Amino acid sequence: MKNRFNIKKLLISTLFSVIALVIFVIEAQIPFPVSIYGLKPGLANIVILFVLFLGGKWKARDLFLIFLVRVLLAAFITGQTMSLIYSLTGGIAALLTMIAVKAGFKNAPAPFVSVTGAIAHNTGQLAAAAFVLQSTSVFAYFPVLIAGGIISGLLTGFVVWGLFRTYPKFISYINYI
Amino acid sequence: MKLLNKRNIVYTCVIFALFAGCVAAWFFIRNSEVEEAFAVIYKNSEQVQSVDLSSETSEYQISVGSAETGINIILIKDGAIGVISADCPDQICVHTGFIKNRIVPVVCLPNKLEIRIVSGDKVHGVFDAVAR
Repeated sequence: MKNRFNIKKLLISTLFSVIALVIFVIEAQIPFPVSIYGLKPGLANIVILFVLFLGGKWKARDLFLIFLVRVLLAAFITGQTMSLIYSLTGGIAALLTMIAVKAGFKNAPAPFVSVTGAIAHNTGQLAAAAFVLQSTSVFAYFPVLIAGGIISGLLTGFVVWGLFRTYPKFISYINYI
Repeated sequence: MKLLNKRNIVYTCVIFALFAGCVAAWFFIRNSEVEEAFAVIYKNSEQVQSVDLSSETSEYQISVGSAETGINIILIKDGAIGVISADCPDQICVHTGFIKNRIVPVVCLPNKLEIRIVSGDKVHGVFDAVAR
Protein backbone atom coordinates (compact mmCIF):
# COMPACT_ATOMS: atom_id res chain seq x y z
CA MET A 1 0.00 0.00 0.00
CA LYS A 2 2.80 2.41 0.73
CA ASN A 3 3.84 2.34 -2.93
CA ARG A 4 0.51 3.71 -4.07
CA PHE A 5 1.23 7.34 -3.24
CA ASN A 6 4.86 7.35 -4.22
CA ILE A 7 4.99 10.87 -5.60
CA LYS A 8 8.48 10.51 -7.09
CA LYS A 9 7.43 7.45 -9.04
CA LEU A 10 4.27 9.21 -10.18
CA LEU A 11 6.35 12.12 -11.46
CA ILE A 12 8.78 9.85 -13.30
CA SER A 13 5.84 7.92 -14.83
CA THR A 14 4.32 11.16 -16.09
CA LEU A 15 7.69 12.10 -17.49
CA PHE A 16 7.89 8.77 -19.34
CA SER A 17 4.43 9.31 -20.84
CA VAL A 18 5.34 12.80 -21.99
CA ILE A 19 8.67 11.69 -23.46
CA ALA A 20 6.82 8.98 -25.42
CA LEU A 21 4.25 11.54 -26.53
CA VAL A 22 6.90 13.99 -27.73
CA ILE A 23 8.70 11.24 -29.65
CA PHE A 24 5.35 10.23 -31.18
CA VAL A 25 4.48 13.79 -32.26
CA ILE A 26 7.94 14.44 -33.72
CA GLU A 27 7.86 11.12 -35.58
CA ALA A 28 4.45 12.00 -37.06
CA GLN A 29 5.99 15.17 -38.52
CA ILE A 30 8.73 13.29 -40.36
CA PRO A 31 7.52 12.27 -43.82
CA PHE A 32 7.90 8.54 -44.26
CA PRO A 33 8.50 7.34 -47.82
CA VAL A 34 6.49 4.10 -47.67
CA SER A 35 2.73 4.56 -47.48
CA ILE A 36 1.40 1.36 -45.95
CA TYR A 37 -0.76 1.40 -42.85
CA GLY A 38 1.17 0.44 -39.74
CA LEU A 39 4.58 0.71 -41.36
CA LYS A 40 6.47 3.30 -39.31
CA PRO A 41 9.49 3.46 -36.99
CA GLY A 42 7.39 3.47 -33.79
CA LEU A 43 10.14 5.16 -31.79
CA ALA A 44 7.75 6.02 -28.94
CA ASN A 45 8.01 2.37 -27.93
CA ILE A 46 11.56 3.04 -26.74
CA VAL A 47 9.98 4.42 -23.56
CA ILE A 48 7.59 1.48 -23.09
CA LEU A 49 10.40 -1.01 -23.64
CA PHE A 50 12.64 0.93 -21.26
CA VAL A 51 10.03 0.75 -18.48
CA LEU A 52 9.44 -2.95 -19.22
CA PHE A 53 13.12 -3.67 -18.59
CA LEU A 54 13.21 -1.65 -15.38
CA GLY A 55 13.08 -3.82 -12.29
CA GLY A 56 12.52 -2.92 -8.67
CA LYS A 57 9.34 -0.96 -8.11
CA TRP A 58 8.26 -0.93 -11.74
CA LYS A 59 5.47 -3.38 -12.45
CA ALA A 60 3.24 -4.23 -15.41
CA ARG A 61 0.56 -1.93 -14.00
CA ASP A 62 2.82 1.11 -14.41
CA LEU A 63 3.58 0.03 -17.95
CA PHE A 64 -0.11 -0.07 -18.88
CA LEU A 65 -0.79 3.32 -17.28
CA ILE A 66 2.13 4.99 -19.07
CA PHE A 67 0.98 3.43 -22.34
CA LEU A 68 -2.67 4.49 -21.88
CA VAL A 69 -1.77 8.09 -21.03
CA ARG A 70 0.48 8.28 -24.05
CA VAL A 71 -2.07 6.79 -26.47
CA LEU A 72 -5.04 8.84 -25.21
CA LEU A 73 -3.10 12.11 -25.26
CA ALA A 74 -1.76 11.32 -28.73
CA ALA A 75 -5.29 10.71 -30.01
CA PHE A 76 -6.52 14.00 -28.54
CA ILE A 77 -3.55 16.00 -29.86
CA THR A 78 -3.73 14.66 -33.41
CA GLY A 79 -7.55 14.76 -33.30
CA GLN A 80 -7.76 11.31 -34.86
CA THR A 81 -9.90 9.57 -32.28
CA MET A 82 -10.84 7.04 -34.98
CA SER A 83 -7.28 5.74 -34.99
CA LEU A 84 -7.55 5.02 -31.26
CA ILE A 85 -9.00 1.56 -31.96
CA TYR A 86 -5.88 0.63 -33.95
CA SER A 87 -3.35 2.04 -31.50
CA LEU A 88 -5.14 0.42 -28.55
CA THR A 89 -5.50 -3.07 -30.06
CA GLY A 90 -1.94 -2.99 -31.41
CA GLY A 91 -0.46 -1.53 -28.25
CA ILE A 92 -2.20 -3.87 -25.81
CA ALA A 93 -1.30 -6.90 -27.95
CA ALA A 94 2.32 -5.73 -27.97
CA LEU A 95 2.40 -5.09 -24.22
CA LEU A 96 0.93 -8.48 -23.32
CA THR A 97 3.28 -10.25 -25.74
CA MET A 98 6.37 -8.45 -24.48
CA ILE A 99 5.47 -9.13 -20.82
CA ALA A 100 4.90 -12.81 -21.65
CA VAL A 101 8.12 -13.15 -23.67
CA LYS A 102 10.16 -11.40 -21.00
CA ALA A 103 8.71 -13.70 -18.33
CA GLY A 104 8.97 -16.85 -20.48
CA PHE A 105 12.50 -16.42 -21.82
CA LYS A 106 14.88 -15.80 -18.96
CA ASN A 107 17.20 -12.83 -19.64
CA ALA A 108 15.77 -12.35 -23.12
CA PRO A 109 17.68 -9.47 -24.78
CA ALA A 110 15.77 -6.22 -25.34
CA PRO A 111 15.92 -6.35 -29.18
CA PHE A 112 14.34 -9.83 -29.18
CA VAL A 113 11.52 -8.81 -26.80
CA SER A 114 11.00 -5.65 -28.83
CA VAL A 115 10.74 -7.58 -32.11
CA THR A 116 8.08 -9.90 -30.70
CA GLY A 117 6.21 -6.84 -29.41
CA ALA A 118 6.40 -5.06 -32.76
CA ILE A 119 5.12 -8.15 -34.59
CA ALA A 120 2.23 -8.47 -32.11
CA HIS A 121 1.50 -4.75 -32.51
CA ASN A 122 1.22 -4.93 -36.28
CA THR A 123 -0.76 -8.17 -36.14
CA GLY A 124 -3.22 -6.60 -33.71
CA GLN A 125 -3.62 -3.52 -35.88
CA LEU A 126 -4.15 -5.59 -38.99
CA ALA A 127 -6.77 -7.69 -37.19
CA ALA A 128 -8.52 -4.47 -36.10
CA ALA A 129 -8.44 -3.18 -39.69
CA ALA A 130 -9.83 -6.49 -40.98
CA PHE A 131 -12.59 -6.24 -38.38
CA VAL A 132 -13.45 -2.62 -39.23
CA LEU A 133 -13.51 -3.28 -42.99
CA GLN A 134 -15.04 -6.77 -42.57
CA SER A 135 -12.45 -7.93 -45.07
CA THR A 136 -9.80 -10.62 -45.07
CA SER A 137 -8.03 -9.32 -48.16
CA VAL A 138 -6.14 -6.76 -46.06
CA PHE A 139 -4.07 -9.71 -44.79
CA ALA A 140 -2.18 -9.38 -48.07
CA TYR A 141 -0.24 -6.74 -46.11
CA PHE A 142 0.65 -9.22 -43.36
CA PRO A 143 4.19 -10.19 -44.51
CA VAL A 144 5.32 -6.62 -45.12
CA LEU A 145 3.96 -5.57 -41.72
CA ILE A 146 5.88 -8.36 -39.98
CA ALA A 147 9.05 -7.46 -41.88
CA GLY A 148 8.57 -3.80 -40.95
CA GLY A 149 7.88 -4.78 -37.35
CA ILE A 150 11.16 -6.70 -37.22
CA ILE A 151 13.13 -3.66 -38.42
CA SER A 152 11.44 -1.19 -36.07
CA GLY A 153 11.59 -3.69 -33.21
CA LEU A 154 15.33 -4.14 -33.67
CA LEU A 155 15.77 -0.35 -33.84
CA THR A 156 13.94 0.40 -30.57
CA GLY A 157 15.36 -2.73 -28.93
CA PHE A 158 18.96 -1.73 -29.55
CA VAL A 159 18.31 1.82 -28.32
CA VAL A 160 17.02 0.43 -24.99
CA TRP A 161 19.82 -2.11 -24.83
CA GLY A 162 22.29 0.74 -25.31
CA LEU A 163 20.60 2.87 -22.65
CA PHE A 164 20.84 0.07 -20.09
CA ARG A 165 24.49 -0.53 -20.90
CA THR A 166 25.42 3.15 -20.86
CA TYR A 167 23.60 4.34 -17.73
CA PRO A 168 23.58 1.48 -15.18
CA LYS A 169 23.75 3.90 -12.21
CA PHE A 170 20.79 5.92 -13.45
CA ILE A 171 18.81 2.70 -14.03
CA SER A 172 19.39 1.43 -10.50
CA TYR A 173 18.42 4.86 -9.14
CA ILE A 174 15.13 4.84 -11.12
CA ASN A 175 14.45 1.22 -10.09
CA TYR A 176 14.18 2.04 -6.39
CA ILE A 177 12.97 5.61 -6.55
CA MET B 1 28.28 -10.61 -20.64
CA LYS B 2 29.45 -12.09 -23.87
CA LEU B 3 27.47 -10.74 -26.81
CA LEU B 4 27.96 -13.60 -29.21
CA ASN B 5 26.76 -16.42 -27.01
CA LYS B 6 24.84 -19.38 -28.32
CA ARG B 7 21.44 -18.02 -27.38
CA ASN B 8 21.86 -14.66 -29.06
CA ILE B 9 22.98 -16.39 -32.25
CA VAL B 10 19.78 -18.47 -32.15
CA TYR B 11 17.67 -15.34 -31.62
CA THR B 12 19.42 -13.59 -34.49
CA CYS B 13 18.98 -16.56 -36.83
CA VAL B 14 15.27 -16.91 -36.00
CA ILE B 15 14.61 -13.21 -36.54
CA PHE B 16 16.53 -13.08 -39.83
CA ALA B 17 14.85 -16.24 -41.12
CA LEU B 18 11.44 -14.75 -40.32
CA PHE B 19 12.43 -11.48 -41.97
CA ALA B 20 13.66 -13.21 -45.13
CA GLY B 21 10.52 -15.34 -45.26
CA CYS B 22 8.31 -12.27 -44.94
CA VAL B 23 10.13 -10.34 -47.63
CA ALA B 24 9.85 -13.34 -49.96
CA ALA B 25 6.13 -13.75 -49.13
CA TRP B 26 5.54 -10.03 -49.72
CA PHE B 27 7.12 -10.13 -53.20
CA PHE B 28 5.16 -13.27 -53.99
CA ILE B 29 1.86 -11.68 -52.92
CA ARG B 30 2.62 -8.41 -54.69
CA ASN B 31 3.33 -10.23 -57.94
CA SER B 32 0.56 -12.81 -57.90
CA GLU B 33 -1.84 -11.85 -60.65
CA VAL B 34 -5.55 -12.42 -61.05
CA GLU B 35 -7.15 -13.57 -64.30
CA GLU B 36 -9.99 -11.42 -65.66
CA ALA B 37 -9.57 -8.87 -62.91
CA PHE B 38 -12.65 -7.22 -61.45
CA ALA B 39 -12.30 -4.31 -59.05
CA VAL B 40 -14.89 -4.31 -56.31
CA ILE B 41 -15.33 -1.13 -54.27
CA TYR B 42 -16.46 -1.53 -50.68
CA LYS B 43 -17.65 1.28 -48.42
CA ASN B 44 -18.50 0.50 -44.77
CA SER B 45 -18.00 -3.17 -45.76
CA GLU B 46 -20.85 -2.96 -48.29
CA GLN B 47 -20.27 -3.41 -52.00
CA VAL B 48 -20.74 -0.11 -53.84
CA GLN B 49 -19.68 -0.95 -57.36
CA SER B 50 -17.72 -3.52 -59.33
CA VAL B 51 -15.74 -2.70 -62.44
CA ASP B 52 -14.57 -5.18 -65.06
CA LEU B 53 -10.99 -3.96 -65.39
CA SER B 54 -10.03 -6.47 -68.09
CA SER B 55 -12.56 -5.07 -70.59
CA GLU B 56 -12.87 -1.49 -69.39
CA THR B 57 -11.34 0.91 -71.91
CA SER B 58 -12.99 4.21 -71.03
CA GLU B 59 -11.59 6.56 -68.41
CA TYR B 60 -13.92 7.82 -65.70
CA GLN B 61 -14.17 8.87 -62.09
CA ILE B 62 -16.36 7.63 -59.27
CA SER B 63 -17.03 9.58 -56.09
CA VAL B 64 -17.69 7.34 -53.12
CA GLY B 65 -19.06 8.51 -49.78
CA SER B 66 -20.56 11.67 -48.37
CA ALA B 67 -19.22 14.55 -46.31
CA GLU B 68 -20.04 12.67 -43.10
CA THR B 69 -18.57 9.30 -44.07
CA GLY B 70 -15.63 10.77 -46.02
CA ILE B 71 -15.24 11.23 -49.75
CA ASN B 72 -12.83 9.31 -52.00
CA ILE B 73 -12.52 10.11 -55.70
CA ILE B 74 -11.67 6.93 -57.59
CA LEU B 75 -10.25 6.99 -61.12
CA ILE B 76 -10.46 4.11 -63.57
CA LYS B 77 -7.95 4.46 -66.36
CA ASP B 78 -6.21 2.03 -68.75
CA GLY B 79 -7.65 -0.98 -66.96
CA ALA B 80 -6.29 0.16 -63.61
CA ILE B 81 -8.05 1.61 -60.58
CA GLY B 82 -6.89 3.91 -57.81
CA VAL B 83 -7.84 6.71 -55.47
CA ILE B 84 -6.81 10.14 -56.77
CA SER B 85 -8.11 12.28 -53.93
CA ALA B 86 -9.52 11.75 -50.47
CA ASP B 87 -10.50 13.88 -47.51
CA CYS B 88 -8.85 11.53 -45.01
CA PRO B 89 -5.96 12.90 -42.91
CA ASP B 90 -3.29 10.35 -43.85
CA GLN B 91 -3.75 10.17 -47.67
CA ILE B 92 -2.35 6.63 -47.67
CA CYS B 93 -4.98 5.45 -50.15
CA VAL B 94 -3.86 8.13 -52.63
CA HIS B 95 -0.19 7.22 -52.22
CA THR B 96 -0.89 3.52 -52.71
CA GLY B 97 -1.40 4.34 -56.38
CA PHE B 98 -3.16 2.33 -59.02
CA ILE B 99 -3.81 -1.41 -59.00
CA LYS B 100 -4.55 -3.53 -62.03
CA ASN B 101 -4.55 -7.26 -61.41
CA ARG B 102 -2.61 -7.71 -58.17
CA ILE B 103 -4.32 -8.92 -55.04
CA VAL B 104 -2.95 -6.26 -52.66
CA PRO B 105 -5.96 -3.98 -52.02
CA VAL B 106 -6.20 -0.19 -51.87
CA VAL B 107 -7.46 0.75 -48.42
CA CYS B 108 -8.60 3.98 -46.80
CA LEU B 109 -9.08 3.18 -43.13
CA PRO B 110 -10.51 6.54 -41.91
CA ASN B 111 -13.21 6.44 -44.61
CA LYS B 112 -13.68 2.64 -44.36
CA LEU B 113 -13.11 2.23 -48.09
CA GLU B 114 -11.53 -0.74 -49.78
CA ILE B 115 -10.87 -1.51 -53.44
CA ARG B 116 -10.37 -5.23 -53.83
CA ILE B 117 -9.27 -7.08 -56.96
CA VAL B 118 -11.08 -10.37 -57.49
CA SER B 119 -10.97 -12.80 -60.34
CA GLY B 120 -13.84 -12.83 -62.84
CA ASP B 121 -15.04 -16.30 -61.83
CA LYS B 122 -15.73 -15.20 -58.29
CA VAL B 123 -17.72 -12.14 -59.38
CA HIS B 124 -19.88 -14.23 -61.72
CA GLY B 125 -20.41 -16.72 -58.92
CA VAL B 126 -21.66 -13.94 -56.63
CA PHE B 127 -23.96 -12.56 -59.31
CA ASP B 128 -25.37 -16.01 -60.08
CA ALA B 129 -26.14 -16.54 -56.43
CA VAL B 130 -27.95 -13.19 -56.30
CA ALA B 131 -29.89 -13.92 -59.52
CA ARG B 132 -31.09 -17.21 -58.13
